[in-house]
Amino acid sequence: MGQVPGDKGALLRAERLAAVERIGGLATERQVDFVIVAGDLFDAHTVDNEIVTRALEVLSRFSVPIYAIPGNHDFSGAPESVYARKRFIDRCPKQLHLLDEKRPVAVTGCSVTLLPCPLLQRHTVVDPTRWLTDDTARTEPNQIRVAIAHGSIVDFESEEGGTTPNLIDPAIVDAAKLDYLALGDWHGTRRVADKAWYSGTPEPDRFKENQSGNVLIVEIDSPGAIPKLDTIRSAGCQWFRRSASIHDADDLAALEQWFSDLSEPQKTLVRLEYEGVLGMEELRRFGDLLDTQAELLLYLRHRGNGVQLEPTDEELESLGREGLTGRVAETLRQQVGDDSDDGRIASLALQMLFQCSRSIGGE
Amino acid sequence: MKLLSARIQNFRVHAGDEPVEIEFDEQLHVIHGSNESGKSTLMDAVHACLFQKYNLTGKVLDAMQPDDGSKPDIEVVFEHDGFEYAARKHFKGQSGTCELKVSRDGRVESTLNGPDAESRLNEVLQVPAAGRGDRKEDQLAHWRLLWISQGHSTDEPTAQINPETGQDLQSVLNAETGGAVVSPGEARWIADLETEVNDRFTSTGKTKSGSRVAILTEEVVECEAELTVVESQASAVEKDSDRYLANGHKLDEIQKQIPTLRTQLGERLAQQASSASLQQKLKNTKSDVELKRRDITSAENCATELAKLKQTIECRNKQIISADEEIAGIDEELQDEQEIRASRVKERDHTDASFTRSRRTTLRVQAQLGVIRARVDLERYNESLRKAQEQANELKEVGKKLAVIPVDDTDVDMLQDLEASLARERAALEAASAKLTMVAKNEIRFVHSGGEEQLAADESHERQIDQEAEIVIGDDEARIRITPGGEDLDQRRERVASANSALRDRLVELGVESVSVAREKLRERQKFESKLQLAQSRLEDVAPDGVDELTRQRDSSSEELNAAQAELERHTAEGDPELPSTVEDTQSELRVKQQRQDEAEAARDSARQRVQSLDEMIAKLKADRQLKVQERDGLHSQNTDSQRQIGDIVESNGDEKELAEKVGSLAEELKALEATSREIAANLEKLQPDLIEAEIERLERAVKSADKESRNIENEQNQLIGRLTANDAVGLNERIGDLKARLQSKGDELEREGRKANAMKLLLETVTSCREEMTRQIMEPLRKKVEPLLRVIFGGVQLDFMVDEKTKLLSLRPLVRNRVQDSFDRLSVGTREQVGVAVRLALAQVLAEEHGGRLPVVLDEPFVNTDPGRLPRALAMLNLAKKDLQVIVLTCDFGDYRELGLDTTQVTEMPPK
Repeated sequence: MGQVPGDKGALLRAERLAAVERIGGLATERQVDFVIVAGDLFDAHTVDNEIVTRALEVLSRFSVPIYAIPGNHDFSGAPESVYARKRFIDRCPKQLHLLDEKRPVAVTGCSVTLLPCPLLQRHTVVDPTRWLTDDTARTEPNQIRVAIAHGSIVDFESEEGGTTPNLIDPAIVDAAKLDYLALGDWHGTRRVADKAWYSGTPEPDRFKENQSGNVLIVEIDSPGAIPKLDTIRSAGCQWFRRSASIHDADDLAALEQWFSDLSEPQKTLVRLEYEGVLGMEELRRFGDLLDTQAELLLYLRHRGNGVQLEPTDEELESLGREGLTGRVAETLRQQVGDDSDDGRIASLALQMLFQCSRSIGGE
Repeated sequence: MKLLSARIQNFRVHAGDEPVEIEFDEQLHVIHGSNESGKSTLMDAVHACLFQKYNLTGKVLDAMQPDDGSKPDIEVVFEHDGFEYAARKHFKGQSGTCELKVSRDGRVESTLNGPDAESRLNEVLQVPAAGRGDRKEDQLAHWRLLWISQGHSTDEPTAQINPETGQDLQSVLNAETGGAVVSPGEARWIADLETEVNDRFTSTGKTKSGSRVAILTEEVVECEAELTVVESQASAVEKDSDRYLANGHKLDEIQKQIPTLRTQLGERLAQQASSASLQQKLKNTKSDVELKRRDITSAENCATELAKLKQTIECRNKQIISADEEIAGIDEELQDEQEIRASRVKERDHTDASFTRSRRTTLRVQAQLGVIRARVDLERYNESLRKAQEQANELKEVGKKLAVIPVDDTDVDMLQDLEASLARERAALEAASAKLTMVAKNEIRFVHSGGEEQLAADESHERQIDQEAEIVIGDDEARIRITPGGEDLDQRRERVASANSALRDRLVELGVESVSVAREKLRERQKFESKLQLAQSRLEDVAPDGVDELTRQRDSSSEELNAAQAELERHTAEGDPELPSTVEDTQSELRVKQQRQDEAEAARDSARQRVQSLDEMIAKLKADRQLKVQERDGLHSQNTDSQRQIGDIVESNGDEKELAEKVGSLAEELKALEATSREIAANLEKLQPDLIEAEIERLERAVKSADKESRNIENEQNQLIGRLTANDAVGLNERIGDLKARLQSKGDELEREGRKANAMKLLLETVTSCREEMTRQIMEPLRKKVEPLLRVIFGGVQLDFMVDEKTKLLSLRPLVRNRVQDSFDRLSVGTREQVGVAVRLALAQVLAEEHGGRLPVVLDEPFVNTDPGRLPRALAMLNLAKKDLQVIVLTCDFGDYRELGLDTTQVTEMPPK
């Protein structure tokens, strides 16, 4: 959430809690047996007490048990762990079970045994799921074996968001005879195997197009059965990253249309990267569009080489080619188009000249 | 455009029924006349007709009217762009009239009246409508420059064309010269832009403190600094956490290692004890082995010593026998040599006696030779002495004679000097005295002071009279009194007497009668002195060192003779043969005797040498014998010692046989001990005591190190827990997020603001550079026109037109005689006047190109401040300008102007009022 300052940033933080609240509602609605949080319930050990208190308050309203393991952001082995904090201990609701030991935990009321693979430290070179093949991970034959782990799958390494430590070998699903492996760390919803899925973060927090903002409802009939999954949208806000090449009125119109098609602008965050060349009038429209959207959207960030001014002949003529303004315009125009900071400054100077000229004409 | 004619009635001084009419020359027209003749009024009337509102009222109208209050009626005809315009205005206040006839080729095409006429007139003249009231100066556009009233030719012309004071004029200039430098609208936004840029940048182009960019930069820097601090706090927490976890693993590992290390240490310590026991045993055995070896060596050494002593004794006995034999040999040889020596001694004694005899004979002959030589010397000395005595006697005699002669050279010289002095004094007296010469014809007697004298016939008498004298002739027959007239006669006489007295005194003193006698005595003296010298010379020949010395030498010689005779007697023996009596014979005899003596000496020396050699040989043999005897005695003594040692060894250790048995027994014991030692060493080697010791050291260190590290880690863990569980880090996550967001937001804004500020700066810079370039372009035609005009006056002056950055006014900067003037105002009044007129004419030429190629320029007394020397060149400038312009000059000095070269054909003279 570090990208959005001020009040809008606060709104975003509230949306995250709202997403958790929605999950609680969904759990009740779909009558699930329990909820799993596969690590990183908290962003860091240094989170504010206010966040801890509010999160626990929302979880306390869940109607089903919640089983969470510590992830790489909230690993439990350190003295400063948020889970060791007095505020957490004092406020932890009875529904929330922190599984910070590698031992099977039977879920009350159903034949599921959870096999947690908690991270006790930020990075580990040992596969956190390795213990699942040990004798200590044995369960009764009638039990559905559900492992919970946090880390990267080996073949994620090269992909965005993957991290080298805490590597998990997906072969553990078969090796440990798991019925389901609930994975955390990857922000997007992603299938690893029929029995191994990343649910992804329930509320996105960055401009990355990785299918985040979902919650998975997993249904397992019996030990050995293929799980049935339902992906439910849990996010309150939508994050868009858009690139635009704007060279004429049509391009500008298309962009205007794209913005106008956004369903919930107040809950939309857009990162716009653009480049191009426009005449003075169109450039003014483009500027107006950005100004308007910046006010309308939850957050608009526009970056890139910018759209430079390429005045039309008529526009140049309107300045008077022989007069001072005309000469200045011509001099600046020759500097525009240079794809450098100087070129962009010249373009802006030319826009200012047009504005000055318009102010004279408007008198 | 050019003025063709004017008709003025009732305009100030031009009042009355008859209008003033004037037709203008199309090039150069001069209106001249005395002051108050109405020259300026005439052209003011033309100006009013062209530009003033025909229906104006008030003070301006009042000022135009003549004193009688009649109303001005003015018509001006001019040509423009192929048309002829006749404008007539009758200024009668609100009821004033205006008529404009427009003709072409002599045919009237239109006649306009009232406002239409005036509007068209304004249009043709390119001036704006006059507005309310009368026409103001700044509504006259370029005509302000072309119509120079009296006293204004020194005004700076460009001051009249700056945008601030003459915007309308500026627009005219813009139209005429190809574009505006800055339009009023542009001037406004440029001023706004300057304000914006000045708000953002300093004069040196740096970001201004307090500007938005500066504030944002500071905020970003602050934000970055804060973020760095917070991130470093978070990073510290993370590091502590990692450290804590790593320490935990490490501690586990160490605590697992410590028991293992302790077990290994116990095992190694047991091995070390066993090893120590074996090592002591090995040490004892080795000590026994060493003792046995030492005993064996001792017994072997005794046996060896015994054998060695016996062998030595045997060897010495042989040496003793050999020495005895050598001593006997030496004794024999010694005896032989002593016999030979006795024979040689006899030979030596014989040669000694021969030599002694020969020596005595030689000495005797030598003594004889000495006696003979001494006798000869004595005789020679006696003869010399005799001769010397003779010469001494001679000297004594001559001396006696010399002694009685009282005069010497000095005395004679002195006498001669006194004699000469007397002669000089006498001559001086004679020269001063009278000379009396008397010649007697007959014998006569006369008496004078000196006595009486007598002269025979024909005898004369002369005398010197040096004092008053009287001569009585005959018996007082005549008395002649003579008084000499010379000066100082008395003194001279005294000096003669004195000299004579001195001479006499000296002669008496020397005992001679006269100087001649003295000279004779001197000659006699010189003769004896020669004799004395001769005698002395002879005496020196025989006795150069004196008679006494010669006597001493003779006595010495006598003693030598006595000595020689004694020597001879000493070497003479009874029976010796007679010796020769002459030196030669004796010397011959001596040579023979010396030869014999030498031979005898050589024989004697040879005999002595041989004896000496034998003595040395015998001494050597004796010494050798002595050494051999000592050597032999020494060997006897050593043998005695060795026998004693053998006795001692046998007594202590037994004889050789017993010793050999003892060595055998000891060797057996040694063998057994060595076998035991090897066995112990092998057992010890298996234990590797060095490795055990090193391993024990290592294990002890490891245990100690592990304990210490364990304690350290535990301490550190406690500290880490303290830090990590403190509440400092709570909320850092959100603070970092907020700061990053703020930094991003501020950074984006800073980028936008920075770009905007730079764009403003670029725009202003571009405006400034374009504006300068355009100003240069616009002013270029004016510069080209003004240069030929100025060249006429100054020969090479240039003008530079500047735009002042602050006031935005045009200003004129002339280069007069290659010297840059600061400004027009700093020129002298005269130069200002000339430059001002030149610029106006040039401007008119520029504008004229857009006005049918010609414009009128009215100059009312343009060169009143110009010095007479430069006036012809100023007028020549007008001559040049008239080719492109219609120049109308008003002056009261036309006569001078014409004489100074003003080239005009059309002149209007105004009659005095």
